[in-house]
Amino acid sequence: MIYQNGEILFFRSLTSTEILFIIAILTISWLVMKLNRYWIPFLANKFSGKRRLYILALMPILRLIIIVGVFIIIFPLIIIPTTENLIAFLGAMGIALGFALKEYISSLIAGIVTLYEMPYRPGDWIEINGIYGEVVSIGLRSLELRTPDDNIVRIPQLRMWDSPIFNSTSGSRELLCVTDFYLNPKHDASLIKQILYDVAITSPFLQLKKPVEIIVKEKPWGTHYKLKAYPVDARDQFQFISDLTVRGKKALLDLDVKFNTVMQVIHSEQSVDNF
Amino acid sequence: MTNSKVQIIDPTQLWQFIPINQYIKPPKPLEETVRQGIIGVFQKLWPTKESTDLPLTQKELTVIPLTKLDRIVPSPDWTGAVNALNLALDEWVKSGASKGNVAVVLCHPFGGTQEILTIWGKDQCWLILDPPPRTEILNDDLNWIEHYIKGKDTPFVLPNLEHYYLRHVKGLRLIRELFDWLWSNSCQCVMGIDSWAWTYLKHTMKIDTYARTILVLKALDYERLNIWLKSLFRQSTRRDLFFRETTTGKYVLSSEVPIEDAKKQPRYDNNFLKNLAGYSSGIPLVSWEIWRTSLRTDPDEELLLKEDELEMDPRNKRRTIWVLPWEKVELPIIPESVKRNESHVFHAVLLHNGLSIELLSQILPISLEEVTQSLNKLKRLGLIENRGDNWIVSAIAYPRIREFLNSEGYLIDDI
Repeated sequence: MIYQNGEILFFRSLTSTEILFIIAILTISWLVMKLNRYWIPFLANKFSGKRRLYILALMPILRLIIIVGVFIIIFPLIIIPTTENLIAFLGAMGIALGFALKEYISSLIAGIVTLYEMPYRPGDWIEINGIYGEVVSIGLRSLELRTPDDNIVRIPQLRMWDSPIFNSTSGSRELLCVTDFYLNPKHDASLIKQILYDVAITSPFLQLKKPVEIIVKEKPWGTHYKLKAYPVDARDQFQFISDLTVRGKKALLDLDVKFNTVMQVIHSEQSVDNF
Repeated sequence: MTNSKVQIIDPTQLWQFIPINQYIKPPKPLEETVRQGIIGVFQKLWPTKESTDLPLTQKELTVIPLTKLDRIVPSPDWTGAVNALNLALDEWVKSGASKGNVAVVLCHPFGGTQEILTIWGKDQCWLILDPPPRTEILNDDLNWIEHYIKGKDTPFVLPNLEHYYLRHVKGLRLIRELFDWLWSNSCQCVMGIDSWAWTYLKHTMKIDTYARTILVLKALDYERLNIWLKSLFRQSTRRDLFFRETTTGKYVLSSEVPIEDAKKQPRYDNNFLKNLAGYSSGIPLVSWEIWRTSLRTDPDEELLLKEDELEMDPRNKRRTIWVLPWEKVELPIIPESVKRNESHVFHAVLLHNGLSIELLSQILPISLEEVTQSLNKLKRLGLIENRGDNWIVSAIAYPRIREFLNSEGYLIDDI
């Protein structure tokens, strides 16, 4: 412990040069982190597939390096680095966090936790609180999602503590897509399965390295077919589902298979009631 | 890298058909891989317009006119390869159907195996079947199989199985029927199939379970390329041609160094051939096409005299053909402007070993107009070309397109 005039010395007395140096470090790191959010996605979009995901993954890692670096440089300049001072500093921080900036700091801590826990990474397709989209960037306080309608949604990192996070890709480029077909039950189910399998394997969007699965379930209103397959690129998921739906419908209609709709079901239920 | 030593390969062993599990691609030289990696990153970050001008230091060298080029590097003679196939299939042919009635010969695009199989089939007096029109396949029309396959027990050859299906909901029935028939009969059949179609059908229909004999042409490594390229010009001319690199003057093909030069420093450099083998993955017609592209001549020198003049003047028997250094060979690149539609076109064309515009628009979820635009764009870039109605990837660009599709996540051929 360091004393001066009988008082514990906590902060160092800073010269004007040191103050300028600290301001410069903070400004530069802030600028680099801001630039990070633009140039890494820009660079990543020049590539595709795995390379794109690897470059996007650099974003949180670089941010963590910058934060740790800034802390290591500035902390001993401001505070006399003794054990007592460190404990006192952390205690003061705890009080500040507990009262004044609880929500904000909680988001910041969640942001730091995401850097090593990685519940989501840039490029992942996730759903939080009913919002689905691709993770565009992960900030310390919030993350940005791009929804299928091209809206950018900013979600506080705080949500990580109390909301379930559905991650469809988890760092890989593959994403399971489910295409539904609701059919009138009067048909040959094995033939329909074969047709839907062919629909999947002839889609140019299909990732042929992954399996194609067809789940059939009988419901009170008809037969529900779930065609499960992976697109080549997760970003093509909606085009892939559309392609499977369009071609699947055509193939099934060519076989004279009837589709069930809500109106038909209501109508048939009424007919049964009348009977 | 300079190496004057060449492993001696028996020229009769130039062509070999080997089981698929023994297939090895020629390695790419490390320096070239690093160079291409750096160029690739720079191209992504700062795309430049592709120049059609060759950055030749030897401005005076010119491209060889096509007629003369056809005499220097003529179309390959596949006799040796046919003999190699005959040797590889001999035991299977003699065994009847006891070793499985189907033998598959896999072929890379531009591998030449279809031609080899056709010649082999004719030599064996086997029935060689042409594929049905693709419109029939798309109409679920099974007339072809009823007419040509069922009820016959003579052995037959299908040189290009990739033309018996289409990646369309209605385009798979014929090939399924064909395999079902082969499975339940003992008639011997040799199938040639493109490696891309093979991989697709293996993943979707498990066709690899139908055949026990699966052969592939051994890749041409730089030593085999050396023998093959020399044998090509000897097919068409009795003249001694020397292939020398434009920048260093070193001889590109071995054992062609003139006696007076042999006493000096090692004058042979196999770097070009190593790069050629690595880039083309040892695929014969890809190497052939690049070799033709890389040759230059001195316009002051009359390239090839008529053969009768040659007889009269033996001094003219030796001529030098200049070969561009590997770094200067103009290989197409795939620019950033190639997007998803073009990737689909590449993949579809490779899976079928060529498709017409109409079929492409039926197979892909894009309109005829968009297909036409994509094809025009790719043709302008030298990545795709048309042979009659069919569009195929260009041989020289094939290795780059394969790499590109792999990086995009598509299923590519696995040999």
